[in-house]
Amino acid sequence: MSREVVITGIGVVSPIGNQPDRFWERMREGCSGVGPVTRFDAKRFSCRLAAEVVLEDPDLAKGRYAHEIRRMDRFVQYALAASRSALCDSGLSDAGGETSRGGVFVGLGMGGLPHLEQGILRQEARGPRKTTPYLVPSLIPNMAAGMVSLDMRLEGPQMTLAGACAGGTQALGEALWAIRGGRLDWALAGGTDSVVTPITFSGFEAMRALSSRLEPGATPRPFDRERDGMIVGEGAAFFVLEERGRAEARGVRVRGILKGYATVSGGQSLVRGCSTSAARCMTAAVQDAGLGPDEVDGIFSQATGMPHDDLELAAIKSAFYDKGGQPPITSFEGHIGHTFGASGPLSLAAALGALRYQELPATLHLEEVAPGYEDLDVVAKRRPAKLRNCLIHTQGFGGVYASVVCSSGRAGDQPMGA
Amino acid sequence: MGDNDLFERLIKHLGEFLETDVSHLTPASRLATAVAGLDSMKVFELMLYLEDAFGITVDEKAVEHLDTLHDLEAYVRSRLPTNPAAV
Repeated sequence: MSREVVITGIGVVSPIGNQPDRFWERMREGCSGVGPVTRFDAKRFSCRLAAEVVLEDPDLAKGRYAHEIRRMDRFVQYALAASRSALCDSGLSDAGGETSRGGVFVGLGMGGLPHLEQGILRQEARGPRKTTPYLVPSLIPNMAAGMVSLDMRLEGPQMTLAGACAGGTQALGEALWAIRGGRLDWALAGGTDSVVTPITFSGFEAMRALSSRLEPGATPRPFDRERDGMIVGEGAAFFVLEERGRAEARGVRVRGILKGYATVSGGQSLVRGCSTSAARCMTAAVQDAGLGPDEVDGIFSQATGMPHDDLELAAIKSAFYDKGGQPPITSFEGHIGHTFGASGPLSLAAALGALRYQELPATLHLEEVAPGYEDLDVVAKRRPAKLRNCLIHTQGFGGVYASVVCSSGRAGDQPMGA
Repeated sequence: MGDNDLFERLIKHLGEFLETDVSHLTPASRLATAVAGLDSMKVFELMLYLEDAFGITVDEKAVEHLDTLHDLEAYVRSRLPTNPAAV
């Protein structure tokens, strides 16, 4: 019998709250974290909105690496804050005495673009010798996993998965497989990204990918007929994953079960997803969980609000609705914008809340589902739902797709918020 | 600028840079050991900080030979624009 992997700790840093209960409460209320950009003057762009995090943690820069933590780009700081919260939530104030049997798995899509941009501008303005020696360590993609491992004195593997917007989901899934397969007993796994910086807006506006609506209360609009692009969001979500026997031996609360995972490649475009590949990924994740398509009760799909959101609906139709399932579909990018590599892990945090409260959150700003998919059950308003298993699906540039399946705990387990 | 004035400014900037209390430091304090965790990365960054704070240019090779805070103070003094020896 394969080893079951349970979730015993949750940590979130998001535009709608930095504690799981607060995060879920604001999601249930339909609150949006989208507002005017504050990090720079966005008047030069058509898109002037972002979903920014407010992280006021006086204890963030503490310990042996306080000096270094202050110099890290935000994606590292968010990963650290969320990881510490997850570890604390799981009752592990440190590595729990098993530093070599635990791993750190971090997914991201963008890395340290803000510091790279600032470094270039400083070099141009003041010359190369004025570049801070912390520039490179503060922005390289593995530094989130590195800083977390150093801060918590973890001695097992640290893995960084730069799988674009699927990176965080890949981190969760690879950690699941490492524990299930016996290579590790526990892991900190999640995703992080923070790129509210001008070059991000330049790059995505060149692709015509950003929403140009100016009303924060009306955009982005996942799956909606009137969607016009994404909003840049940011955040992180991390989880303590453990082999069930280890968690039960510690007497720790079980928040849920991470049950299945798949990641695939495919498509015919650099940036536009492919419904066939996405459907293949979803189906494989459900099979990995030992479930059938009719046993998935809710889908948290990425759906950034860009025109090709409907490809995700096509994939869901093919993988579930055409095979006897009718799972309701939601996306919470309307609440927090697109968080790139963090989107899968933040969706997992949302799904664990849905399982806890037996309620599906609204797809914020959805008024009319994209043409051709009116027969699919896309959740426009939050509603009660009988939920046992939820699928989280993400996909990114380069034809990368990743899905995970999470389930409510067994009787006696205490999920999030309990 | 008097000896004490410059040393006090140096200590003030060092404290700002490290974001910690360094009031215990004296001219005889050794750079390598008086401040916990002052590794090479922090020293490189500190030199940039002092360049901006004092309006000077620091020669990296000269810094390698500085042993005490007194040495650092003397070096900063030698680089001040008002010092005719400063290049």
